Amino acid sequence: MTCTELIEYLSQYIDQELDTELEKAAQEHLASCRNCSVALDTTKKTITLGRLALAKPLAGAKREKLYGRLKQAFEDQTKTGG
Amino acid sequence: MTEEDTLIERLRKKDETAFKDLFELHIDHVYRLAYGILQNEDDAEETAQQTFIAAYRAIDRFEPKAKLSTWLYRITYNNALNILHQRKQNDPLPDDESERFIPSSLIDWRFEPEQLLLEEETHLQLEKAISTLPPAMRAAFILRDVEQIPIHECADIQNISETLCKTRTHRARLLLRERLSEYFSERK
Ligand SMILES: [Zn+2]
Repeated sequence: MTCTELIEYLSQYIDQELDTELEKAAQEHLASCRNCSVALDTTKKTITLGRLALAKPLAGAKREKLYGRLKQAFEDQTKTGG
Repeated sequence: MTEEDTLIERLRKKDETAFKDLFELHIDHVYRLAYGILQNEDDAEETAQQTFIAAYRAIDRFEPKAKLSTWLYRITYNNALNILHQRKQNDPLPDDESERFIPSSLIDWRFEPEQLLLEEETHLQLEKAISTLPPAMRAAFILRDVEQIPIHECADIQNISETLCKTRTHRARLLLRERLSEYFSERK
């Protein structure tokens, strides 16, 4: 497997979607290629970072404000025959 | 009857407290996807509002076999794209099937994500990196990697093939990795 191919398969490798043969070829490539190992490691870190940073609940104040706004819009809608 | 079935029943009967329950259960997800696509708080709020009202009004047409969350994500996704369209911003759905992306910044990061997140600057850099992606790629990344939705549901929400959904997620990951590496690499 070449570096270009490895990068092409990188997400499928991370998501464990490759068939056994391709997965084995990817592992062999990664064992001997520093650049692709770094690409793999930093891509995994990118995913973790995104998930940890973004999968947070809305802050209380914002949540309340949004619900207030929504409730108002909802009441206006139902009044006008929704 | 599952809790979701009960909620849907209550929504159909126009039970007033059901609307609040729908909001509490799903607002985080709806808002995250909307904000992810639009990158603007006012537009994300507008999208969330449109989504809950549309869902409430269309609840009788909701397929009992489907998942409420998938349905809400789909309405959110479409509403957000409509707003983008109104804003006439850059094409939300670029032809992203061609052209390979080759990583160029290949130095390992100095810290683990958990450590990086302790710094305010990390959050800013991440926001900045995400904002440089095309909206469709942002949507794929949010759905797959932040919300961790299975690929078939992801494709369904965006009304695209699983292959295209995978391609967009892959491109998004590589581009984000590249931008973040420029900042987080072990350099002097
Ligand atoms: Zn390589």
